Amino acid sequence: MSKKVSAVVMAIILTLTSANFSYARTLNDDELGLISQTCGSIKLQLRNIQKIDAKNRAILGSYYETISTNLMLNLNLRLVKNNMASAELSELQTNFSSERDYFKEKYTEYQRELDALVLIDCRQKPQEFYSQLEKVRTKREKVDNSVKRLKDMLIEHRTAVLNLRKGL
Amino acid sequence: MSDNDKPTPNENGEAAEQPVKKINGGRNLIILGLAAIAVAVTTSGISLWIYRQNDIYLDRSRPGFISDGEENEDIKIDKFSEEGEISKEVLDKYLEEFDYIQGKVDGLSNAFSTEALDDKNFLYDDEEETVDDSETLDYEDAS
Repeated sequence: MSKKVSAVVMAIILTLTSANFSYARTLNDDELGLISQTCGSIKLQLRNIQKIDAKNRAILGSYYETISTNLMLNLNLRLVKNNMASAELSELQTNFSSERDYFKEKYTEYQRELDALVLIDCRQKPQEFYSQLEKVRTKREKVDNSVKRLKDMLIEHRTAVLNLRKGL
Repeated sequence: MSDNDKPTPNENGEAAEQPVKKINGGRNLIILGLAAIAVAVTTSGISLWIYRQNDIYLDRSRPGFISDGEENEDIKIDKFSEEGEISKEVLDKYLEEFDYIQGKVDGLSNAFSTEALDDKNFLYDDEEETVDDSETLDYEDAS
């Protein structure tokens, strides 16, 4: 019985550790050397990315906010007041709002990991730096996917409004 | 002053001296100062913790990250009124505003492209200038 339990525990540990290790590629000596040598310029690039990202995040955030509150919400309210409530438009508004929250959350996670990356001494710890870089990439991808989904939702919303217009 | 508060005379008929509580002003001042510092440090710590936990510091108020001019980009759209009828003309006007801002959003649809963190931007030799410069500039342009 105890052997079975041990086997299960070992299997779980192996699964978890392999999942963890699969996160980061192990670099060869040449690649590690390159990171160490160019650490200064890498840091500069990362700070530049941080700066641009913060600006884009703020601008996109204000666009999403404007679309959600000044346009989508008010259109739905107006439709309700005219007894023309559209389930599709209401659902799109809700989904857009939820995705917007998700985007904010994922951006925060991404930026935290990027902050941590910039703090790592890539000259002394290139492998640690690279492992963190891969984490940052994963987080950034989630932000990127969210931006794409929000874009698609806007297209859907526009189509729904056009259909509504056709029906008038 | 009531009769009870009056000092009781001793055997010689002189008023007995009441024990006077000595107040150490200097010590109290130091305690007050230390307490004030402790409160200030605690509240500042809590504020900073809240600041870090939220996305406020990442979004807008990060010193040196976004200047006021960049941050407060003017969005020239009219707020769609929730009052009034629904007609084709009204929806046309709505779509006009919507298209304007949708265009702005589309312009930033690749703002968080994963290319910015590609290996080619980090694992390159200083002598191979092409990889370095082109990629960085592309990213800046996209934003």
